[in-house]
Amino acid sequence: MTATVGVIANPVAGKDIRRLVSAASPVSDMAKIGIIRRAVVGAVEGGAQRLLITDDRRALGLRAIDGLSLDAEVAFLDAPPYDSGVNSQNAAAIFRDRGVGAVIVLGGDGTHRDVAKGWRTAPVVAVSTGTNNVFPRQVEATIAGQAAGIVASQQPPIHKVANQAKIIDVELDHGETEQALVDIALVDESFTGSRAVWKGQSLLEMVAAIAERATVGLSSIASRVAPTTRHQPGGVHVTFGEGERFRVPIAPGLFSEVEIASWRRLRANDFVEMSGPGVLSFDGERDLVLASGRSALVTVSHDGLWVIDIEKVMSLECGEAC
Amino acid sequence: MTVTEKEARTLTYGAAFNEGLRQVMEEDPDVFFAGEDVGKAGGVFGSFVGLNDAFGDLRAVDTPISEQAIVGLGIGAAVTGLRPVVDLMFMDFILVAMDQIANQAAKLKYMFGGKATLPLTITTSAGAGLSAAAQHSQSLEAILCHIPGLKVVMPSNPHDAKGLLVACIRDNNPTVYVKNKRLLGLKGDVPEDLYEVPIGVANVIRPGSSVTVVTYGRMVQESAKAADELAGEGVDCEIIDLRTVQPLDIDAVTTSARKTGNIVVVHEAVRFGGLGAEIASQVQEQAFDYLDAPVGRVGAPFTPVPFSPSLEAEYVPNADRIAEGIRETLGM
Amino acid sequence: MQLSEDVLLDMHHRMVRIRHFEEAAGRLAEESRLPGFLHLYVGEEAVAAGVCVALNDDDQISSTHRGHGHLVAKGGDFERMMAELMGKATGYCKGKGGSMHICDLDLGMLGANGIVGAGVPIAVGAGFANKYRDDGRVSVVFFGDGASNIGAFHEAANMAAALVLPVVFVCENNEYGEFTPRERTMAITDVVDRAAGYGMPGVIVDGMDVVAVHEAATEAVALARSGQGPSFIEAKTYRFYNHHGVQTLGMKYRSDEELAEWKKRDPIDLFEARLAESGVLTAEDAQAVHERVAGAVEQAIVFAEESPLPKAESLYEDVYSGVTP
Repeated sequence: MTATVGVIANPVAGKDIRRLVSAASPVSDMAKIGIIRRAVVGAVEGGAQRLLITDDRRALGLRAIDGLSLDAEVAFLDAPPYDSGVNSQNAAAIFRDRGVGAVIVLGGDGTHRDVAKGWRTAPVVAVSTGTNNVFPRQVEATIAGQAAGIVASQQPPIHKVANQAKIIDVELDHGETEQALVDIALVDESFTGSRAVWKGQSLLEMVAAIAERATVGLSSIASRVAPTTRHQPGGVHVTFGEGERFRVPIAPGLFSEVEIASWRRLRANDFVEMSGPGVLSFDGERDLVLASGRSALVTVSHDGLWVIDIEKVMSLECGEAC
Repeated sequence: MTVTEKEARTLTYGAAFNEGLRQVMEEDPDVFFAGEDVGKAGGVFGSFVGLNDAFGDLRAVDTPISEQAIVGLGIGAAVTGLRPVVDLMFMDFILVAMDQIANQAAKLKYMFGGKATLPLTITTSAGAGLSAAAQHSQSLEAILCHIPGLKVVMPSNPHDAKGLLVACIRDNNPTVYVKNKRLLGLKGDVPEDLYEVPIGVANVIRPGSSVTVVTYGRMVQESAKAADELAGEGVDCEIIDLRTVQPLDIDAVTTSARKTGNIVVVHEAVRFGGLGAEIASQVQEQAFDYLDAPVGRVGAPFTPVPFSPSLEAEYVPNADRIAEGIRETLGM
Repeated sequence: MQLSEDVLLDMHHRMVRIRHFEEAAGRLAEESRLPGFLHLYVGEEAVAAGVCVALNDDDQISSTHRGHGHLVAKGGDFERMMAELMGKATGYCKGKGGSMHICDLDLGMLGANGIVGAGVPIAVGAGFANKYRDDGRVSVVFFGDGASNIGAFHEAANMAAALVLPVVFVCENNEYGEFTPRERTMAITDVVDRAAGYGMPGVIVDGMDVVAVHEAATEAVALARSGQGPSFIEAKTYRFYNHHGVQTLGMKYRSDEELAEWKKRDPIDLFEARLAESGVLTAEDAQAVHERVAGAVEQAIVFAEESPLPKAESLYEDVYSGVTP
């Protein structure tokens, strides 16, 4: 089987309103092109024979490989006429169908969420290019790409080189489903608007699958009452209102006061019901209006993306593992 | 306009400019100036020295090297009620900002049906003779005078340097105030009071009967020398210092032409398509019957301004060449 | 943080006003009842409306050749606008400016502009005046993706940042500079990538979502008003008609499919759907707004057509302030 690495690069990651409301730094296209280029070089070095790259109207992928002489076959997926998360989601589903061995995901929490929506258990190398990311870590793309190439070509048992991530499932009352990877919140808004959630006072309730202290964003709120690592099962449900006050880093460089009315730990597959009116935010982005009278059932489980541990993969290369 | 002139002192042309600006700024809090090196550094020719200390960074503004944005800054501030003075270091640089000057500043009022008022003054420095070569020496007033909506002044002495600047700043139109670099050190009597030299009014600086020499800027000084030279030959020159080149005080010119019957236009700018052509044309339209000879023109040749001092001396009109031009017109 | 119903309805009203005015202008142009060039704002309404609702009445905006929408969003009067488009003496500019120079200085609308990018330095100048007077006003400059390639934009953006001026740069990226797609004229896709080069924060918003635009504008205006200098909003948007006119020139430079995709995201349709869902404005009430606005546009057309042409001697007026030399 041809060792195939997929590359999903979200062109719009890292340019949202948090640039204005906090000291988040934007990620330019040129920076992204450089990251993709280094990841691709790494993937081929790691053994990838074929690269499938998502593309978009801005041709980040095409420009990233421009002038490279790669010892691998390169193909691009078609681009929709405008930027949308559906692009990453569709690409992930196509990658699954075409037997991709590892997916390099360049983006933030939102991009990884889109990937999970298209291929729930995709083996991913998660590279952060987004704003305040909890799910992907900062990692040099060259090595991330190389790790993906090694996994795709040597095909080690996935559980030996990767950790399966948690995933938050949301089932809406009319049967539609949605996913999040880090947190889901109900906010007191009527519009998705500029997407980001950066006002602590607007929070009504949230469920976090990851509530780590050393993070920025909504998950940091849950970490104040019930720290939960990405590897522990279950999650945290928090409701806001009269109660204990905390100042939390709700976005990079921006602390906001929140008042927690109640919280409880969730075991895997416990249900939380969130009721409208409000807007549901997924991994910090308002994405779905929950009208009055409508509700959503939220659960946390541990059967999401396989997040490749680069350190383990590189040890594998050295013959120390497997 | 009432001009109260206290006892005059001697100031340089540059210092007169500086004093005029300072006094208008003291009088009117809406006046500020902005440009390259004009704040802390006091201007490359020292014209703005001391003003940043006196008025601070918000009224004596250092800008980036961005001529379009400098003029745009002035336009936006003027149209919203301030009275800006923006400086373009060399007149050559107006070409970099020409859209903002010609398409915006000059036309906003008209395009907006009269609603906009643009009390904007653009100051700049023209003139050859410093081996500054082709991009730092030009006299480009003809280009500006061709654009309806602009006023253009070119003072020839310290007194007018101050009075015209004050008039420009107080005028409710976009004006271009053109200093001549080689006049900056010229000394002359300058009243201490704040006064205006009216825009659009020429000045007969030397009455005469044989020939009318129409000139402005530094060529006024050279023409005066030529007149001295010619006096010994029995030629009695009347010298008109236009002071303002747009609007043109054509009445002053034709009145004098009717008296002397001969006219020579002198400017430092390239002769072809220069103001001399416009003046010659208007004079023949209005005073043809009074002329004893075709209108003479003395100007720079149709070349860029050269660098080498020897070449530049060939290029820039001077007293000798002006005298020669006058003799030619008079058939001498 | 809920937006008030007043704000929501105001944004809706401004968008509807722009749409009906522009549709009518387009029809008149097709019928050869308007002289000159006509650059219609249809499709981009959410940008002007979302931004202008975030402004105070005495804040300023500068505009582009596609400027009707900005004037309407700032409160422009239909009758005087339509009269100007027809070159009548009763127009905003007494028939001397036309579509490309339409303005209302009393509303802080510093003029549409026939030169791409030329409004940018002017808005920065207005911003300087605001800072100079310390009056708390903010100036907003609207410009297109194409304008971000012209020197005036770069000079003015740098100057605004260097002098810490209360200016908001709003780039309406409609993906085409006249008839040429952006990717043929720029090596970057997001104009906002340029903001960092001037030391400004920059953000991309969905220019078809008026609430998204409004949220970003509110934040950017607050930064400017509080003395924190300029910021940059790139609104991804699309013009539903041609660069010039409705179908004029008949040039084929973009696909029907692309246009259809964007039209699915008509900013007014999207917003009305949400307003209806949230109970702020029913479909019937929205229809009533449309009808009322359409009536006002029709009335403006009648006013404009019945208005006199400028007198010949007015040709010579308004060149200079004061006594004309």
